[in-house]
Amino acid sequence: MKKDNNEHLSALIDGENCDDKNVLEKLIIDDNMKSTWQRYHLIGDCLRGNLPEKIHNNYLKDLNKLLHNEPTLLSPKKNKLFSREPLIGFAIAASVATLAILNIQHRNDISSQTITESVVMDEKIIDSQFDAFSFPEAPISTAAVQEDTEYDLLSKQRLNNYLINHSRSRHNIKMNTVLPYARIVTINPEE
Amino acid sequence: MADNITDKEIIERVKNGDKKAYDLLVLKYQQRVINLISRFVKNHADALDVSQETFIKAYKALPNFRGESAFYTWLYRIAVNTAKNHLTVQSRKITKSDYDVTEIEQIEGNMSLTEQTTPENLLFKDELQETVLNTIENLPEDLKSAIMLREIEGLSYEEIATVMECPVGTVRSRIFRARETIDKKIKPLLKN
Repeated sequence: MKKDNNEHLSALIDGENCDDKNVLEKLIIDDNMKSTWQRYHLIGDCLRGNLPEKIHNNYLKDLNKLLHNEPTLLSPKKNKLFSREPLIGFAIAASVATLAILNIQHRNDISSQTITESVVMDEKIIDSQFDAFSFPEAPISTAAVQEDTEYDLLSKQRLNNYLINHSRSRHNIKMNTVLPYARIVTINPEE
Repeated sequence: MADNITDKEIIERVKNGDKKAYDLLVLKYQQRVINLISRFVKNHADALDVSQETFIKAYKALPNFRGESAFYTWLYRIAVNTAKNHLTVQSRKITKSDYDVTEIEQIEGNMSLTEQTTPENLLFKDELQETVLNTIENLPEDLKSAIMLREIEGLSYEEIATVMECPVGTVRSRIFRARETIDKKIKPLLKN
Protein backbone atom coordinates (compact mmCIF):
# COMPACT_ATOMS: atom_id res chain seq x y z
CA MET A 1 0.00 0.00 0.00
CA LYS A 2 2.79 2.39 1.02
CA LYS A 3 4.79 1.30 -2.03
CA ASP A 4 1.79 1.98 -4.26
CA ASN A 5 1.33 5.41 -2.69
CA ASN A 6 4.98 6.24 -3.25
CA GLU A 7 4.80 5.11 -6.87
CA HIS A 8 1.80 7.40 -7.40
CA LEU A 9 3.71 10.12 -5.61
CA SER A 10 6.70 9.61 -7.91
CA ALA A 11 4.43 9.98 -10.94
CA LEU A 12 2.79 13.06 -9.41
CA ILE A 13 6.19 14.69 -8.91
CA ASP A 14 6.86 14.21 -12.61
CA GLY A 15 3.45 15.65 -13.50
CA GLU A 16 2.40 12.38 -15.13
CA ASN A 17 -1.07 10.89 -14.92
CA CYS A 18 -1.34 8.56 -11.99
CA ASP A 19 -4.09 6.05 -11.34
CA ASP A 20 -4.83 7.31 -7.85
CA LYS A 21 -6.66 10.60 -8.24
CA ASN A 22 -6.66 11.20 -4.48
CA VAL A 23 -2.90 11.05 -4.10
CA LEU A 24 -2.61 14.84 -3.70
CA GLU A 25 -5.23 14.83 -0.94
CA LYS A 26 -3.40 12.00 0.86
CA LEU A 27 -0.10 13.84 0.43
CA ILE A 28 -1.38 17.02 2.08
CA ILE A 29 -2.49 15.24 5.24
CA ASP A 30 0.12 12.47 5.51
CA ASP A 31 3.41 13.63 7.08
CA ASN A 32 5.32 10.52 5.93
CA MET A 33 4.27 11.11 2.34
CA LYS A 34 5.29 14.75 2.70
CA SER A 35 8.77 13.69 3.82
CA THR A 36 9.00 11.37 0.84
CA TRP A 37 7.85 14.20 -1.43
CA GLN A 38 10.64 16.37 0.01
CA ARG A 39 13.32 13.71 -0.42
CA TYR A 40 12.28 12.86 -3.99
CA HIS A 41 12.57 16.54 -4.89
CA LEU A 42 15.88 16.69 -3.03
CA ILE A 43 17.22 13.90 -5.26
CA GLY A 44 16.21 15.89 -8.35
CA ASP A 45 17.76 19.11 -7.02
CA CYS A 46 20.94 17.21 -6.17
CA LEU A 47 21.24 15.77 -9.69
CA ARG A 48 20.58 19.16 -11.30
CA GLY A 49 23.07 20.94 -9.02
CA ASN A 50 20.43 23.08 -7.30
CA LEU A 51 21.49 22.38 -3.73
CA PRO A 52 22.72 25.09 -1.37
CA GLU A 53 25.84 24.47 0.72
CA LYS A 54 23.81 23.41 3.76
CA ILE A 55 20.49 21.59 3.91
CA HIS A 56 18.21 22.23 6.86
CA ASN A 57 15.93 19.53 8.20
CA ASN A 58 13.72 21.89 10.18
CA TYR A 59 13.20 24.45 7.46
CA LEU A 60 9.46 23.87 7.03
CA LYS A 61 8.87 23.68 10.77
CA ASP A 62 10.56 27.06 11.27
CA LEU A 63 8.69 28.59 8.37
CA ASN A 64 5.36 27.30 9.63
CA LYS A 65 5.98 29.09 12.93
CA LEU A 66 6.21 32.32 10.99
CA LEU A 67 3.29 31.46 8.72
CA HIS A 68 1.14 30.54 11.69
CA ASN A 69 0.07 34.15 12.20
CA GLU A 70 -0.80 34.67 8.56
CA PRO A 71 -4.51 34.48 7.74
CA THR A 72 -5.81 31.63 5.62
CA LEU A 73 -6.22 32.62 1.98
CA LEU A 74 -9.72 32.61 0.63
CA SER A 75 -10.03 33.67 -2.99
CA PRO A 76 -13.26 35.53 -3.80
CA LYS A 77 -15.82 33.54 -5.79
CA LYS A 78 -15.99 34.50 -9.42
CA ASN A 79 -19.04 36.40 -10.64
CA LYS A 80 -21.19 33.68 -12.19
CA LEU A 81 -22.66 35.96 -14.89
CA PHE A 82 -19.23 36.80 -16.23
CA SER A 83 -17.52 33.48 -15.60
CA ARG A 84 -20.22 31.41 -17.32
CA GLU A 85 -20.90 33.70 -20.21
CA PRO A 86 -18.01 36.07 -20.74
CA LEU A 87 -19.63 37.24 -24.00
CA ILE A 88 -22.67 38.58 -22.15
CA GLY A 89 -20.52 40.87 -20.08
CA PHE A 90 -18.62 41.99 -23.15
CA ALA A 91 -21.86 42.65 -25.09
CA ILE A 92 -23.30 44.74 -22.25
CA ALA A 93 -20.12 46.79 -22.00
CA ALA A 94 -20.05 47.32 -25.77
CA SER A 95 -23.72 48.43 -25.84
CA VAL A 96 -23.21 50.90 -23.02
CA ALA A 97 -20.14 52.31 -24.75
CA THR A 98 -22.01 52.69 -28.09
CA LEU A 99 -24.94 54.46 -26.41
CA ALA A 100 -22.56 56.77 -24.59
CA ILE A 101 -20.76 57.69 -27.83
CA LEU A 102 -24.03 58.32 -29.73
CA ASN A 103 -25.34 60.44 -26.88
CA ILE A 104 -22.18 62.55 -26.76
CA GLN A 105 -22.25 63.03 -30.54
CA HIS A 106 -25.91 64.09 -30.42
CA ARG A 107 -25.21 66.59 -27.64
CA ASN A 108 -22.25 67.99 -29.56
CA ASP A 109 -24.44 68.55 -32.66
CA ILE A 110 -27.08 70.41 -30.66
CA SER A 111 -24.61 72.57 -28.75
CA SER A 112 -22.60 73.50 -31.87
CA GLN A 113 -25.84 74.51 -33.63
CA THR A 114 -26.88 76.71 -30.66
CA ILE A 115 -23.45 78.28 -30.45
CA THR A 116 -23.46 79.11 -34.18
CA GLU A 117 -26.86 80.81 -33.90
CA SER A 118 -25.89 82.86 -30.87
CA VAL A 119 -22.57 83.84 -32.41
CA VAL A 120 -24.30 85.12 -35.54
CA MET A 121 -26.64 87.16 -33.42
CA ASP A 122 -23.90 88.58 -31.17
CA GLU A 123 -21.74 89.49 -34.15
CA LYS A 124 -24.60 91.53 -35.62
CA ILE A 125 -24.96 93.45 -32.39
CA ILE A 126 -21.25 94.03 -31.80
CA ASP A 127 -20.49 95.01 -35.42
CA SER A 128 -23.23 97.54 -35.42
CA GLN A 129 -22.16 98.91 -32.05
CA PHE A 130 -18.70 99.66 -33.38
CA ASP A 131 -20.30 101.94 -35.90
CA ALA A 132 -22.38 103.91 -33.44
CA PHE A 133 -23.76 106.44 -35.91
CA SER A 134 -25.14 103.89 -38.34
CA PHE A 135 -26.68 101.72 -35.62
CA PRO A 136 -29.88 100.07 -36.85
CA GLU A 137 -33.23 100.79 -35.28
CA ALA A 138 -33.85 97.15 -34.33
CA PRO A 139 -30.52 95.34 -34.30
CA ILE A 140 -31.80 92.02 -32.96
CA SER A 141 -33.41 89.96 -35.63
CA THR A 142 -36.85 88.83 -34.56
CA ALA A 143 -36.34 85.61 -36.51
CA ALA A 144 -33.46 84.63 -34.24
CA VAL A 145 -35.52 85.09 -31.12
CA GLN A 146 -38.88 83.78 -32.19
CA GLU A 147 -39.63 82.42 -28.78
CA ASP A 148 -39.34 85.76 -27.12
CA THR A 149 -42.51 87.32 -25.88
CA GLU A 150 -43.67 90.72 -26.97
CA TYR A 151 -42.57 92.08 -23.65
CA ASP A 152 -39.08 90.73 -24.13
CA LEU A 153 -38.84 92.28 -27.56
CA LEU A 154 -39.90 95.59 -26.20
CA SER A 155 -37.38 95.39 -23.40
CA LYS A 156 -34.63 94.47 -25.78
CA GLN A 157 -35.49 97.35 -28.04
CA ARG A 158 -35.33 99.70 -25.12
CA LEU A 159 -32.05 98.19 -24.10
CA ASN A 160 -30.67 98.67 -27.58
CA ASN A 161 -31.77 102.23 -27.60
CA TYR A 162 -29.96 102.70 -24.36
CA LEU A 163 -26.83 101.20 -25.89
CA ILE A 164 -27.13 103.48 -28.88
CA ASN A 165 -27.37 106.47 -26.62
CA HIS A 166 -24.51 105.25 -24.58
CA SER A 167 -22.42 104.67 -27.67
CA ARG A 168 -23.07 108.15 -28.94
CA SER A 169 -22.36 109.80 -25.64
CA ARG A 170 -19.24 107.69 -25.23
CA HIS A 171 -17.94 109.08 -28.54
CA ASN A 172 -18.83 112.58 -27.54
CA ILE A 173 -17.04 112.52 -24.18
CA LYS A 174 -14.33 110.05 -25.29
CA MET A 175 -15.19 107.61 -22.48
CA ASN A 176 -13.74 104.09 -22.84
CA THR A 177 -14.61 102.53 -19.52
CA VAL A 178 -17.67 100.55 -20.63
CA LEU A 179 -17.11 97.95 -23.29
CA PRO A 180 -19.38 98.13 -26.35
CA TYR A 181 -20.86 94.67 -25.78
CA ALA A 182 -21.63 95.14 -22.07
CA ARG A 183 -25.26 94.77 -21.09
CA ILE A 184 -25.36 95.85 -17.47
CA VAL A 185 -28.82 97.30 -17.55
CA THR A 186 -31.82 97.25 -15.25
CA ILE A 187 -35.07 97.78 -17.02
CA ASN A 188 -38.16 99.18 -15.47
CA PRO A 189 -41.12 98.17 -17.71
CA GLU A 190 -43.33 100.86 -16.23
CA GLU A 191 -40.98 103.61 -17.47
CA MET B 1 5.33 21.96 -18.86
CA ALA B 2 4.00 18.85 -17.18
CA ASP B 3 5.01 19.41 -13.57
CA ASN B 4 3.22 22.76 -13.49
CA ILE B 5 -0.06 20.86 -13.55
CA THR B 6 0.71 19.64 -10.03
CA ASP B 7 1.76 23.14 -8.97
CA LYS B 8 -1.49 24.58 -10.30
CA GLU B 9 -3.54 22.04 -8.37
CA ILE B 10 -1.64 22.80 -5.18
CA ILE B 11 -1.93 26.58 -5.68
CA GLU B 12 -5.68 26.30 -6.24
CA ARG B 13 -5.98 24.42 -2.97
CA VAL B 14 -3.97 27.03 -1.07
CA LYS B 15 -6.05 29.80 -2.61
CA ASN B 16 -9.18 28.02 -1.45
CA GLY B 17 -8.03 28.01 2.16
CA ASP B 18 -5.97 24.81 2.38
CA LYS B 19 -2.98 26.28 4.20
CA LYS B 20 -1.29 22.88 4.64
CA ALA B 21 -1.03 22.47 0.87
CA TYR B 22 1.47 25.34 0.86
CA ASP B 23 3.90 23.00 2.67
CA LEU B 24 4.24 21.03 -0.56
CA LEU B 25 5.39 24.09 -2.48
CA VAL B 26 7.88 24.97 0.25
CA LEU B 27 9.27 21.43 0.37
CA LYS B 28 9.53 21.35 -3.40
CA TYR B 29 11.24 24.69 -3.95
CA GLN B 30 13.12 25.40 -0.70
CA GLN B 31 16.53 24.17 -1.94
CA ARG B 32 16.30 26.05 -5.22
CA VAL B 33 15.23 29.25 -3.45
CA ILE B 34 17.97 29.06 -0.78
CA ASN B 35 20.53 28.28 -3.47
CA LEU B 36 19.36 31.27 -5.55
CA ILE B 37 19.41 33.67 -2.60
CA SER B 38 22.88 32.43 -1.58
CA ARG B 39 24.22 33.94 -4.80
CA PHE B 40 23.19 37.40 -3.52
CA VAL B 41 23.47 36.97 0.23
CA LYS B 42 26.79 35.36 1.11
CA ASN B 43 26.10 34.79 4.80
CA HIS B 44 24.28 31.46 4.98
CA ALA B 45 22.20 32.31 8.04
CA ASP B 46 21.03 35.55 6.38
CA ALA B 47 20.27 33.67 3.16
CA LEU B 48 18.11 31.30 5.16
CA ASP B 49 16.18 34.19 6.73
CA VAL B 50 15.70 35.87 3.35
CA SER B 51 14.40 32.60 1.88
CA GLN B 52 11.87 32.33 4.73
CA GLU B 53 10.80 35.90 4.05
CA THR B 54 10.44 35.01 0.36
CA PHE B 55 8.07 32.13 1.12
CA ILE B 56 6.00 34.31 3.46
CA LYS B 57 5.76 37.07 0.84
CA ALA B 58 4.80 34.50 -1.79
CA TYR B 59 2.08 33.08 0.46
CA LYS B 60 0.61 36.53 1.06
CA ALA B 61 0.75 37.39 -2.64
CA LEU B 62 -0.59 34.04 -3.85
CA PRO B 63 -4.14 35.39 -4.49
CA ASN B 64 -2.53 37.69 -7.09
CA PHE B 65 -0.78 34.82 -8.85
CA ARG B 66 -2.76 34.23 -12.05
CA GLY B 67 -0.77 31.31 -13.39
CA GLU B 68 0.35 33.19 -16.51
CA SER B 69 3.91 32.10 -15.78
CA ALA B 70 5.24 29.02 -13.99
CA PHE B 71 5.04 29.22 -10.21
CA TYR B 72 8.81 29.01 -9.87
CA THR B 73 9.32 31.94 -12.29
CA TRP B 74 7.04 34.03 -10.08
CA LEU B 75 8.72 32.80 -6.89
CA TYR B 76 12.14 33.48 -8.43
CA ARG B 77 11.25 37.17 -8.93
CA ILE B 78 10.06 37.48 -5.32
CA ALA B 79 13.26 35.79 -4.08
CA VAL B 80 15.55 38.07 -6.11
CA ASN B 81 13.69 41.23 -5.01
CA THR B 82 13.73 40.15 -1.36
CA ALA B 83 17.46 39.40 -1.54
CA LYS B 84 18.17 42.80 -3.16
CA ASN B 85 16.09 44.60 -0.52
CA HIS B 86 18.00 42.75 2.18
CA LEU B 87 21.31 43.88 0.70
CA THR B 88 20.11 47.50 0.54
CA VAL B 89 19.02 47.42 4.18
CA GLN B 90 22.30 45.79 5.21
CA SER B 91 24.42 48.38 3.38
CA ARG B 92 22.47 51.17 5.13
CA LYS B 93 23.09 49.52 8.48
CA ILE B 94 26.82 49.23 7.80
CA THR B 95 27.23 52.86 6.70
CA LYS B 96 25.40 54.03 9.80
CA SER B 97 28.24 54.29 12.29
CA ASP B 98 26.41 54.55 15.59
CA TYR B 99 23.77 52.02 16.57
CA ASP B 100 21.48 52.79 19.42
CA VAL B 101 20.32 50.16 21.90
CA THR B 102 16.90 49.71 20.26
CA GLU B 103 18.47 48.97 16.87
CA ILE B 104 20.80 46.36 18.33
CA GLU B 105 17.85 44.71 20.06
CA GLN B 106 15.91 44.66 16.78
CA ILE B 107 18.82 43.08 14.90
CA GLU B 108 19.22 40.47 17.61
CA GLY B 109 15.48 39.77 17.56
CA ASN B 110 15.63 39.10 13.82
CA MET B 111 18.35 36.52 14.36
CA SER B 112 16.00 34.02 15.98
CA LEU B 113 15.97 31.78 12.91
CA THR B 114 19.72 31.87 12.62
CA GLU B 115 20.11 30.71 16.20
CA GLN B 116 18.09 27.58 15.48
CA THR B 117 20.62 26.45 12.89
CA THR B 118 22.33 23.92 15.08
CA PRO B 119 24.79 21.39 13.56
CA GLU B 120 22.43 18.44 14.10
CA ASN B 121 19.80 20.14 11.91
CA LEU B 122 22.31 20.62 9.13
CA LEU B 123 23.38 18.36 6.32
CA PHE B 124 26.19 19.41 4.06
CA LYS B 125 25.64 19.43 0.33
CA ASP B 126 28.79 17.41 -0.41
CA GLU B 127 27.72 14.60 1.89
CA LEU B 128 24.32 14.30 0.27
CA GLN B 129 25.67 14.63 -3.24
CA GLU B 130 28.20 11.87 -2.67
CA THR B 131 25.56 9.52 -1.32
CA VAL B 132 23.17 10.17 -4.21
CA LEU B 133 25.82 9.80 -6.91
CA ASN B 134 27.29 6.63 -5.37
CA THR B 135 23.82 5.07 -5.21
CA ILE B 136 23.09 5.97 -8.82
CA GLU B 137 26.40 4.44 -9.90
CA ASN B 138 25.35 1.13 -8.38
CA LEU B 139 21.85 1.12 -9.88
CA PRO B 140 20.99 -1.32 -12.67
CA GLU B 141 21.51 0.33 -16.08
CA ASP B 142 17.79 0.58 -16.95
CA LEU B 143 16.94 2.33 -13.66
CA LYS B 144 19.95 4.63 -13.95
CA SER B 145 19.05 5.68 -17.52
CA ALA B 146 15.40 6.23 -16.62
CA ILE B 147 16.13 8.49 -13.62
CA MET B 148 18.84 10.44 -15.48
CA LEU B 149 16.63 11.04 -18.52
CA ARG B 150 13.86 12.27 -16.25
CA GLU B 151 15.80 14.40 -13.74
CA ILE B 152 18.65 15.75 -15.86
CA GLU B 153 17.24 15.76 -19.40
CA GLY B 154 13.70 16.61 -18.23
CA LEU B 155 12.04 14.15 -20.63
CA SER B 156 8.43 13.09 -20.14
CA TYR B 157 7.55 9.44 -19.46
CA GLU B 158 6.37 9.08 -23.04
CA GLU B 159 9.64 10.45 -24.42
CA ILE B 160 11.67 8.18 -22.14
CA ALA B 161 9.54 5.24 -23.27
CA THR B 162 10.42 6.05 -26.88
CA VAL B 163 14.13 6.40 -26.09
CA MET B 164 14.26 3.22 -24.01
CA GLU B 165 11.86 1.31 -26.27
CA CYS B 166 9.58 0.17 -23.47
CA PRO B 167 6.00 0.90 -22.32
CA VAL B 168 5.22 4.09 -20.33
CA GLY B 169 4.18 1.96 -17.32
CA THR B 170 7.66 0.40 -17.25
CA VAL B 171 9.26 3.86 -17.31
CA ARG B 172 7.09 4.93 -14.40
CA SER B 173 8.07 1.83 -12.44
CA ARG B 174 11.81 2.21 -13.22
CA ILE B 175 11.88 5.85 -12.15
CA PHE B 176 10.07 4.99 -8.96
CA ARG B 177 12.42 2.09 -8.16
CA ALA B 178 15.45 4.29 -8.74
CA ARG B 179 14.04 6.98 -6.45
CA GLU B 180 13.15 4.44 -3.80
CA THR B 181 16.69 3.03 -3.79
CA ILE B 182 18.29 6.47 -3.48
CA ASP B 183 15.72 7.50 -0.87
CA LYS B 184 16.67 4.56 1.36
CA LYS B 185 20.26 5.81 1.37
CA ILE B 186 19.57 9.49 2.04
CA LYS B 187 16.78 9.03 4.58
CA PRO B 188 19.17 8.31 7.52
CA LEU B 189 21.16 11.45 6.67
CA LEU B 190 18.10 13.64 6.97
CA LYS B 191 16.87 12.21 10.27
CA ASN B 192 17.32 14.48 13.26
